[in-house]
Amino acid sequence: MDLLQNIMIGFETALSFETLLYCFIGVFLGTFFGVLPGIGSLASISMLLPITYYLDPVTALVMLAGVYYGAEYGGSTASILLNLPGSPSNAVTCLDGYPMTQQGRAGVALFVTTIASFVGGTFGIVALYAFGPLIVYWALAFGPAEYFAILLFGLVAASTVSQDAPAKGLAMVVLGMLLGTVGSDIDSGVPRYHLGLIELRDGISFIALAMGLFGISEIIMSVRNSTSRPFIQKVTMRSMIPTREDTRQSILPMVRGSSIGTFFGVLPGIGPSIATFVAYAIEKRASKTPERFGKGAVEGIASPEAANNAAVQGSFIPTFTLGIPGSPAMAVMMGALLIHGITPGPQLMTQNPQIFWGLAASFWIGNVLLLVLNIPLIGLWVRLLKVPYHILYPAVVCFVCIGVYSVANSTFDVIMVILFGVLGYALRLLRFELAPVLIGFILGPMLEESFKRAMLIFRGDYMRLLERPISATLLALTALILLWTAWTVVRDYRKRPSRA
Amino acid sequence: MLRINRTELLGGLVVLFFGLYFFIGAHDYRMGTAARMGPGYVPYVLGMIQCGLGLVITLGAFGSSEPLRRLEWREMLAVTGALLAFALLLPRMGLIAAISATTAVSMLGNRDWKVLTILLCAAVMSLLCWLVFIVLLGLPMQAFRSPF
Repeated sequence: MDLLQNIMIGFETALSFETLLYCFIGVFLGTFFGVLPGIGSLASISMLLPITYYLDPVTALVMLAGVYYGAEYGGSTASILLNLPGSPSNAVTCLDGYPMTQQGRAGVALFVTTIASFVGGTFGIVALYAFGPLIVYWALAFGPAEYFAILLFGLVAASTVSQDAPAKGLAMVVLGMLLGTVGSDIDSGVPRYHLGLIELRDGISFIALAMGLFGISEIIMSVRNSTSRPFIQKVTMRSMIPTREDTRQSILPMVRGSSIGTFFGVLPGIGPSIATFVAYAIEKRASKTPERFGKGAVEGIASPEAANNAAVQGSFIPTFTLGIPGSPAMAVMMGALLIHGITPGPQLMTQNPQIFWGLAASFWIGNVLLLVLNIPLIGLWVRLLKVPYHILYPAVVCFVCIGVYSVANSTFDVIMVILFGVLGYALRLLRFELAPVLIGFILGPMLEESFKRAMLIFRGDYMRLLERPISATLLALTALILLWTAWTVVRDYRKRPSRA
Repeated sequence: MLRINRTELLGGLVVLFFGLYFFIGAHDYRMGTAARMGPGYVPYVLGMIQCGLGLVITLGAFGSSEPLRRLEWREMLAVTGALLAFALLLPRMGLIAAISATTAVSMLGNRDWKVLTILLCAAVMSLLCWLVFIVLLGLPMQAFRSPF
């Protein structure tokens, strides 16, 4: 069996004492950061990226996968115990998780979260094994025109579909793309927008951008809002055992959530947070007792948490088969891979199968380690939640400094983090969503390259993009999304009662 | 009276600023033709799109109102100042001094800071970072360095 062999290759690559050790460190640090209120999984990964710099790519990814799962779990812990979601995908968990805590069932909620994540992740990885090779086979025939169309589709979808303010989402994607043009032009080697600085000739450091936009701006936002701490429930191992009723009630929601999550994860640009909201809504509708939702229904945690992880694992599919990150977290992962000199895309699977399948396995391993390690460690994390934030955040700031500095042993990147931190903070105050900036920053240069190549082949005739069936379909879909968004904006503007 | 959503207005202007900066900056580079694009082509187009989006956001600000979120000067200056202290002190005085300063400056962001807590945290943090990053991980940084 070819598929089985591939799966074996993957686990052989990803399973070694060293990778497991780093994965453990990743899960541990990720949970540490995730538990801190206001710091989401994206910020955690960004802040821990520099540590993986010296590792080989597979180990680095396994560790980042651990960080991601740890941070998501940490975020769920904060959501369930304190009603403080660390990221949008955790927000749904608050709805029923916090009421469960108030009923003294925090342990069960945390346990169901872990199991649901595991089930969702498993679903996603099975989908990857099933569809990945098919998509790669199909994508190998792609030319620059198809790439241009699919990148454009991904960028537009990422910035409009799940956003409240689509124009602002699009503006953030374009901002990311503009920042991506800084540095040497691929064709001519001309340095662009380098402000006369040698350090900027290679472009803006991805780590500095991610850390400033997410890490620093989140720290600034959370310094003030988290000085007082409510009472925190004690969580023991014993209190985590679900009742038979809980188990029965959460099995089907986990399966449903996993399917929904996998579906949304595969679509490029539509991240896990929308999957969790859809999963919650469907679960509430499917339930015979919808009135229990929001009052501590265990299904209300099981389904979105499963959907979240299934979507994350599912977004591996566009990331690694097409080179288009399916979610912001994947965009960061892809940035990490690019730093290591690996370009995700259809060639990756044919040329470096051990890396492709190793990476596919790595996220699942991160999930399993989370299960094995964090259930016994829950007491530690609850204790960490009790440490006042004003003692914790200086440690995080120091960590960021050393991390950024150690990447290139230069203080220039630390200065860049300050600039992007201030920019990110200002944009947050103006209610901009920051994840699209990162997606634009990573995909922008790729879009530019494929656009240039396509136009070279087509001798500058834009219309010929519409002659090829795949690119024409994707461009039509992109246009549809834009038209539909424009229509909803106009409709909402008309409906606005304040316009007197 | 004309109502203006100041969050949207400022947001639109920020977007417009970035658009104009890259759009005008693109004129310094060779534009090329659609078939053979020069380095200026893509930033030019993107800058133009960004200006358009900035205008849309700015225009959307009229007709509704929403209070601006308060800028937390103290928190922002403390955190960025801490990073700046690190960048300035590390190459001149070494890791211990840099981490102590970073910890101390960032702790000033908390309104109820106490001298004793800050001193204690700075000492613990610099010791911890020295142990982890220099002794254990062996990063190429000096613990102490004379500024002269």
